[in-house]
This record gives sequence, structure tokens and C-alpha cells, in this order.
Amino acid sequence: MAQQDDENVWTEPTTALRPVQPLRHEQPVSRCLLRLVSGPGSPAEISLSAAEVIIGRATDASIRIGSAELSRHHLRIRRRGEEHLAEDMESRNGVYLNGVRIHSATLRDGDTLQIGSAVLTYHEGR
Amino acid sequence: MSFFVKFWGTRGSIPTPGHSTRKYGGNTSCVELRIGDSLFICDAGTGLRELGIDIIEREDQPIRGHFFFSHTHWDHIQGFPFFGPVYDPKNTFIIYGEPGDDNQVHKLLSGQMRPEYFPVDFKELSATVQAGSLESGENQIAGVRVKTHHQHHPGGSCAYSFEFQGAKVVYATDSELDSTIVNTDEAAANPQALRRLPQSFVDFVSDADLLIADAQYTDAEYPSHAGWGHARASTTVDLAIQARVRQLALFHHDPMQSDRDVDRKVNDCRDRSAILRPELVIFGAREGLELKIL
Repeated sequence: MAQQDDENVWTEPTTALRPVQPLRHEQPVSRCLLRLVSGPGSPAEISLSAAEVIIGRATDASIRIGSAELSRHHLRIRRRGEEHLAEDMESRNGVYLNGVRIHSATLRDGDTLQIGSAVLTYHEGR
Repeated sequence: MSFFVKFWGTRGSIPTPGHSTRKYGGNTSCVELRIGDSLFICDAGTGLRELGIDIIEREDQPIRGHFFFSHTHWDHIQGFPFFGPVYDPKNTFIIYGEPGDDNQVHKLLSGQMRPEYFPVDFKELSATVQAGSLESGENQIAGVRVKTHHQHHPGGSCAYSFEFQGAKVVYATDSELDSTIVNTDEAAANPQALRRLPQSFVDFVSDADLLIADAQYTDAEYPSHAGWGHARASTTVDLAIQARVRQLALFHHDPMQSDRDVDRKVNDCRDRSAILRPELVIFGAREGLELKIL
């Protein structure tokens, strides 16, 4: 049977079936990242492959942003199943998700987080 | 003492799972209020199932929770049989509805678990589930001041106000605000004019730190849905403006609205409030979002 090298057309398997590519909204959570798009230290990319990432001005924060507007431990990004949860760590100046002050939220692709003058955007896997 | 609000279901009418509703969520109405040590739950739409999972994960003590039902249409009760904590004999839940209607809510909740509809009978729930009772004026429940207000919706619905240590949250869904507009001629002639709403309801909502309100339709959608019992989002904004609300959560998103549609609805509402009350914070209620009120 003729085979076509087109991923949309069935071809007879040869050595192994190709792994199914996840749909856009099912990207592996380990590939998610934050982009620091403005504020101290920008631009930068923050990998979210760890189970927990803490952002603040403390030296023991996972990601240190040197700004007096940030609390020592300001924002926690926690992996929960296949999603990421953003949590305000009782910061003085708060965590804003798309302009709204939150206590916590499940993040979605394209969300914007603001902590002090630092602005971060959340991106699901690439 | 603390006061948290978390959204578990924000969709109106019917669950809408899928890629296009992932941001705001597809579960129907369910909002958790944790006030001090007390658990209040507004409506038992399909979002309640995940709240139940969360409660089981985080609580190791017996739970005493209070349910407040806006009304008993499907999208506000369907989650109840899937709420894990009602299957634990240690727990107690008290069911409230509109004053004078409390037993009816309890009856309908149990009715949806008849064998024709559901495999587990209401009598088999291990937790204690009892009908509560509200007065039409002010009520004190677990240290929280609770007030109610009747709303325009087919079959009626009830809005709730929760006040605790100076903070106030109002839950007002399934309400066709447009059918209560006072200045109808002016509002019809000029869509930009502030739509004035009955003073009794404005007073009920007044100075809320957070108003969670029906904002199902856009201006374009509303005319073909008039009489279905839901609000134009722009009219909900006008209520928040008149009542000097601090934050408005647009709630009960239409099942036909994708995340992009809701984003546009939110932006349109922000444009409307920008002149009359720029300090009003408006956002689309979305699953998983938790606010600290106090």
C-alpha cells in the first residue's frame, strides 16, 4: 500500500508507532514557564519544572527579585496535578492576576501576574 | 479572623467543559466562603464536586457547613449528590433557601436523588443534612450577619449578603436586573445612560467589598433572551456603580461564551464603568480563583 509522509494520513507502522502529541491545552506541565517581562531583572524566563517555585527578595527564594516592593517570600507557584497554582504568601503589596488582587488562582496560558513592579506572564508548554 | 471567597463553578445553565472554556471554567454555580472557622457554600452546581474533593483533602475534623441556595434550578443543585463530604457521618450540613422556602429547597435536593434520577437515595447520605431557616430581615449564622433579597427570575431566586467584621460579600445570581430598571424610557433611549435599579436592592448591595452577580449576557445577546431570568452584564455594572461596590465578579457566564467572549464581556464592562466609577474593579469570575476579603 502506498504511504504518504503526512502526519494527517494513516501510514502502516514500521518499527514503532509515533507517540501521540499532546493537544495544545494538554502541554506537559513541566514545560510551563513564567516570563519576567518588566521590572527588576527583566527580561528573564523562569522554569516551572520544580514542584514549587518561590519568588521574593529573600536570598533563599527560588527566584530572587531585588526590589523593596516585594516581600521576602512573596509569590509561590505550586504544581498541582497538571496545573499550576499561584499563591500570595501573605505579601505586603499583594499578588495581582490580570489586574485583580488574589489570594490564589489556578494559572492559565497568557495570564499576567504582577508583584510590585515585576510583571510576569504564564505560558503553558512550548 | 479571615474571610476568603473561592470560585468553584462560574458557568450558567449547563456545564460547558472543553478547551474554549478552560480559563473561566465549565462548572456551574458554586462559591465557597470561608469566614473565620465557618464554611458557607453558595449554590451546589457542578463545581461543588471539586470543592468536596478539596474539603476532604484539607479537613480532618468533622465539618459543619452551611449551604445557601439562590434557587433550585438544575445548574444550582446538580453537584450536591457528588459532594463527597455528605457521605461522611461526621459531617453536618444545613440547607438554607429564600425565607419561607427553606423546606422546599431541602425537599427538591432530596427529590433529585430519587431512583429515577440518581442511583443513591438521599436517605443513604451519611452526613446529617437538615433544613435551616432564615428570617426575611437579619440573621446571625456562625457569627456572620446574613441578609436576603428576592430577585426576578422564573420561579424566583434569592440574593444573599454576608457581613463579617466590617467586610461584606453579596451573592446575587440568576436575576434579570433589566426587568427591574426604574428609568426605562431613559435607558431605552440612551444605552449609555446609567440604568437605575430599585433602591431597596441598591441598598442591599451597597458598599459591598465584593459583589458576585449574574452577568450572563452581553448587550448583543440580551434582546433574544429577555425573560429568561438573567442580567445584561452592562446592567450589572450599573448596579455595582450605584451601590458603590469595590469589586464586581461577573458571574454565571452564558454556556455559549468562550473564554475570548468572556474576556470581551469583561473589557466592555470595564469600559462602561471607567467614567462613572473608575475605581470599581471588574473581573470575570473563574474557577480556582480565590480572594481574601479580610
